[in-house]
Amino acid sequence: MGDLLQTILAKYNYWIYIILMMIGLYAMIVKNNLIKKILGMNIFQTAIILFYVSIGVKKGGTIPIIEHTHGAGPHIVHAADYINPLPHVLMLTAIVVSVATLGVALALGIKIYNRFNTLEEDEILTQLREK
Amino acid sequence: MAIGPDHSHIGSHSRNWCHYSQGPAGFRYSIWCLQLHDVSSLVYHGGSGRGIHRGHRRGWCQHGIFCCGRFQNNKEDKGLKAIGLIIALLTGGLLIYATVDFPAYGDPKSAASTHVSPRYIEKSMEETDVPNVVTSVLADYRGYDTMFETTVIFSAGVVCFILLRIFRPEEPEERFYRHTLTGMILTVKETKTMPSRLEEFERIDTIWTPHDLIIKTLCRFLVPFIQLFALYVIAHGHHSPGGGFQGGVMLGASFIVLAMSHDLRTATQRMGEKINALLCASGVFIYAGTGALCLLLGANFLDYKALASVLHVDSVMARSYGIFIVEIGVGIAVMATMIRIYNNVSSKGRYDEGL
Repeated sequence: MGDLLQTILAKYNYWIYIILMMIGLYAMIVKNNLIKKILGMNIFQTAIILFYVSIGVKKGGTIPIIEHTHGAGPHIVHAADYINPLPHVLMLTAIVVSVATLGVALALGIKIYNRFNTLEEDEILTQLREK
Repeated sequence: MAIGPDHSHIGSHSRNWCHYSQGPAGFRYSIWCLQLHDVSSLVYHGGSGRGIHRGHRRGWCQHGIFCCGRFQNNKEDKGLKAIGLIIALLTGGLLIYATVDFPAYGDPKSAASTHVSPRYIEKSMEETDVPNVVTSVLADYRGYDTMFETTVIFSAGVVCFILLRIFRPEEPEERFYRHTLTGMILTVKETKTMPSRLEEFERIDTIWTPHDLIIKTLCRFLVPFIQLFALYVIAHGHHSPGGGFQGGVMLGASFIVLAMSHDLRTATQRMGEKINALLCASGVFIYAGTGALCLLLGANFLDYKALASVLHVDSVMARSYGIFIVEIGVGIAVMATMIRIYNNVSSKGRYDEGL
């Protein structure tokens, strides 16, 4: 039992991201309101961002900005002193792109609302079947 | 008022009903939405379709009054819910099973931290003279990726514009003008024009709230500081956390603050739609143009070393400057896109009344 707890605690970042991802996935599949589906998508994206950023962590590392003084030449840098910058780069763009896709999703939501006067999925489907 | 199944006569009423029921008349309002519910499940506030009201899905109105004839979907929903839950749990279980093979949290010897990132960390200062490794990886080592991310953002802005923008509304709308001295409100049809010289009148939104001096003044004073900080974040991205994406979002936020605290027209007077579109495109153009310039100077696409002959610096500094130019392009594109998405979504493509 203590062994299991140890393994969970050593990898708790994955557990958190998986739980967040499950919440997002559940909302995207089950929720009837389209705005709630979009929110689910956002939770999903946040989970992935958390996953990537947590991968970049190194124990004993600081932020990936090389220590430097003005005018001094390049000195030897140890990679172990700095955390992994690559996930940060990927997520930096992903965050802004997720905002942009959120905008597109909301725009589509507005179009659907203009057409069907509702954002409930079942009511939209009923209206579509009636035609 | 009798609540019964026989309210079919209400179907002919206009949707703008609930416009008059805002405020403390909660009970009347709830009965009205009950009756309107068979016409459509959404009740309009304020006549312009804002304020989405739902809440009759489970046979109960959100105000606690029973609505009839809304049961048939419950069984389907339960099945779907169960399937959704099973899928989510299954995916989660598989991922949790996969974490056994994953490195522990903060492990310095994990595969992600030993593969390419040490090269970036160790060589960034030497090759590009940029201490912030995130910036140098973003704009130099992985320049293609970032360029196409910027293009994605640009396309998202264009898609919002294409989906929503309405240049001529189908039904003529009413505009409201308020006399600032007396508080009298004029209603002007779309077809008639208001004489623009009357400076005592101000145009107000359909849902108009009285001015809050504190909020307006505070936001007006805040905007230049937000913008200054955003410019600092863009310009100082080489040496501290920051860069084009973050600074661009902040610049966009400063305009959105203005649009929310005043109204959308105030913000669009500061930055019009055409200027916005130009900036949005020019940001991507600066990025791709820098890459193309490198190509013209005989190097690879986005290889900023080639800019050394143009900028009269050595090749290391040329890469540093190249990153900076590209970050400015990203900042402009992101700012313009954020403003454009907000304007289009909040005014439903009309650009006249925001949130």
